[in-house]
Amino acid sequence: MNAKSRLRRPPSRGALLASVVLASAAFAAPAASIAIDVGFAGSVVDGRFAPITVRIDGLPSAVDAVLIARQTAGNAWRGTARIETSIASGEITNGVLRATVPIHDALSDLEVILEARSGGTIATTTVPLRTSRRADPFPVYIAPARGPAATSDPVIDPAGIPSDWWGFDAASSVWIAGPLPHGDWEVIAQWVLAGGSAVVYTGADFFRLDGPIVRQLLGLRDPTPVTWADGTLSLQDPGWPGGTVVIVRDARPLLVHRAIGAGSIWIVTVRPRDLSDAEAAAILGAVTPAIPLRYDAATAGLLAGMRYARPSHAVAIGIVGIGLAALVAGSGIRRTRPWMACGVVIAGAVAASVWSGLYVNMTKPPAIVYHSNTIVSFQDFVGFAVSHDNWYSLDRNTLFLPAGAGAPLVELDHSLATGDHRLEVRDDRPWISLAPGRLRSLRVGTPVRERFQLSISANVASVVGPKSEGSRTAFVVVDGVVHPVEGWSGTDASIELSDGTELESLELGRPDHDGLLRAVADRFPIHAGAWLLVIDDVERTELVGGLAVAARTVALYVVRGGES
Amino acid sequence: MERRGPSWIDWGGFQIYFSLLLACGVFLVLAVPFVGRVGDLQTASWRFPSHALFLANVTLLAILGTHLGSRDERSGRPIVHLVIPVAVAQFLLTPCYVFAAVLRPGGGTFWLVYVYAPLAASLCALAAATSRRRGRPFRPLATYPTTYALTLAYLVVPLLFGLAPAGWGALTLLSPIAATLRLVDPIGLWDPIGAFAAVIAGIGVIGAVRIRRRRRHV
Repeated sequence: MNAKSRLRRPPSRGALLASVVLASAAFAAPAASIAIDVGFAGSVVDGRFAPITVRIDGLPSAVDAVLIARQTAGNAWRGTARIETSIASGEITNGVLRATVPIHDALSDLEVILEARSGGTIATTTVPLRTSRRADPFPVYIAPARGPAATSDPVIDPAGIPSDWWGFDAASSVWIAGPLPHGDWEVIAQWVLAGGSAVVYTGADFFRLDGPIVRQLLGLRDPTPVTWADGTLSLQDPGWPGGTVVIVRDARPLLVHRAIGAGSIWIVTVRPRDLSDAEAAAILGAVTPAIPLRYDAATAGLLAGMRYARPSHAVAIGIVGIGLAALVAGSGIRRTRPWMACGVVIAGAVAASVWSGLYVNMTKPPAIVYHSNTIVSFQDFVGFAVSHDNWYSLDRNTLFLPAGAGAPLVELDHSLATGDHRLEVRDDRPWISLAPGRLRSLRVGTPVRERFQLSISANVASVVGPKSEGSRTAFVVVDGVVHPVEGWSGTDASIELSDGTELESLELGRPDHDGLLRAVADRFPIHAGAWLLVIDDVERTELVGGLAVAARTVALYVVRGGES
Repeated sequence: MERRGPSWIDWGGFQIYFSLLLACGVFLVLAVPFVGRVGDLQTASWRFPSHALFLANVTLLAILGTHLGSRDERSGRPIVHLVIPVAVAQFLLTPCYVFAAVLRPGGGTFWLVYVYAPLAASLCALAAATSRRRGRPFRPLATYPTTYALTLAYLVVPLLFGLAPAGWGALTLLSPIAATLRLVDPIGLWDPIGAFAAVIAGIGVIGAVRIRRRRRHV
């Protein structure tokens, strides 16, 4: 074999294999990966929030990135809505992240993407939701609590408890039978106050559960273990103040119900293993489901009542009339004075243009986007807030949501073919697409943002809180009697508690405020004890990304008072 | 005694000028909502579309252009005699456009229609004038009804591309009606570029035909 033929000879298989191995080794840097768990043991409900746990592995170092959950709801026939939620942003490293995401269509997959802020996708994964989709909210059992043998309701590990109270949105009730960290109790308490329904098994295990939040949540004054005749150790509180005994065993309370905030707490006075099957079934039948707080109607009413500053018809008619008059006048003299006829027509057009321009400049341009926002914030031993937003646009627009909008749940119509439905995350901020004449409704749960305080000493109530940016109406309610806090817009005020009016007969003189107050009073126990009610109403028109947005925010703060 | 004056306004087409201004004015007034609350806007079953003003502008100005072109039978007359009356007619609508800024705050792209409409009308005028002249290729078209029918076809027929498979849809921009809707609410930069390119190309082609025929006559 000569040199030329040696050069043309193909490389041996061994050499090829070696080169592939060497190349693989050179590029064998660990690839970033994402693993996710959504919902309660995978169970989710359409149009509700769900907890999500994201595990990130394989990142060589911290990256400046955004972690986005993306869902494309609908289909080609129904139309589609593309909704994104920012789970985390900033310096992201390997580890576990917990958040809460809205589920817009459990028939569609949920995609989680780790995107570098400088551009490019670092890792992505997709989870199908349809297999464990539930039509309605369902009971969630936190181990060691368990449902009846035949049920498919999820049992979750305490580590799977949502990090946000609205993460329980898909739960009809939460069953607890073991100790939990303080933070988890706080989340459960927030959810119960916001209309949730929690069942707590106590009995011999109570003192393993006990803690400050548990005491407040269960409303216990003097919890005492009592051994029943059959040897079962039960928890009893003399008289069960504020509670209603629902089920008894041998004339002793077995299930006690207590209304707290807008929700319910159910105290089972024994451990799960101490219950007979009949008693367990009776308890399951007695527990009422959670009724989440919704202020959609109040928010829609707020939007509907906003003023639309339309231009004047008379001016429009006048402007057109000048042009027509000039044209007719010009036509009349065109045979005798043709130059003047042209001049009259052009002068008429110029005059009408000038008037039109002056009117446009003098008129405050009407907003093209209208936004109403209702915030109900409740402060007791824990606090929470719910926020509803309605957006209405006269034109097709995209708009960045205000800072702090979080990960809202968008109310989707069955037909998505009526416009561009998108809520996406760009530069770590959500933006929403608005279609002309279409309403966009958003709902989000938040922690308490504004902190108020009410302290009562003798006959004087002292209130402290943030300054109001708009008009403020405030009341101190003591055992159902309302005392107005006049002229309070600053940070603190004091009033003398005398000559109050009954809460039922309170009229604020503004139907939207009255409606919201009634809606809150129907759900919260503000007829007993001392409460501070604050209504901050802010209305303004501002330019957002070049768009004139008329916004009205009504925030109602319900704050439990204490004695100083 | 009738004096000779400027040809800025074609008084013979007074009805068209009047109709143009009246129709656009009526549409402008109707486009101002008759409600004072956002809730009324939401519940109103139908709201007069503000872009009707611009559609009326483009359509009636195209008819005016056709009228001017049809009357222009003298060969060799400068194009400017056709274009100036169209431009003056468009100028009469300036107050409506200024006022429309209140109706469409934040969306000033409708001013593109203010420029586009006279261009489309000029194209109609040139096409009508060219077809009315004696010349073999255009002889069969040299009747008034045919000229107006052609203008109507120019306005409407390209809209049928909207029914064609994706990709052909862009050809709807050949129609001034579709182009106007896209100029008022452009989806991207290509909408205005495509609309103006189509009408300018049409003017260029007809202008070239006129120049070629004039050279042939010389």
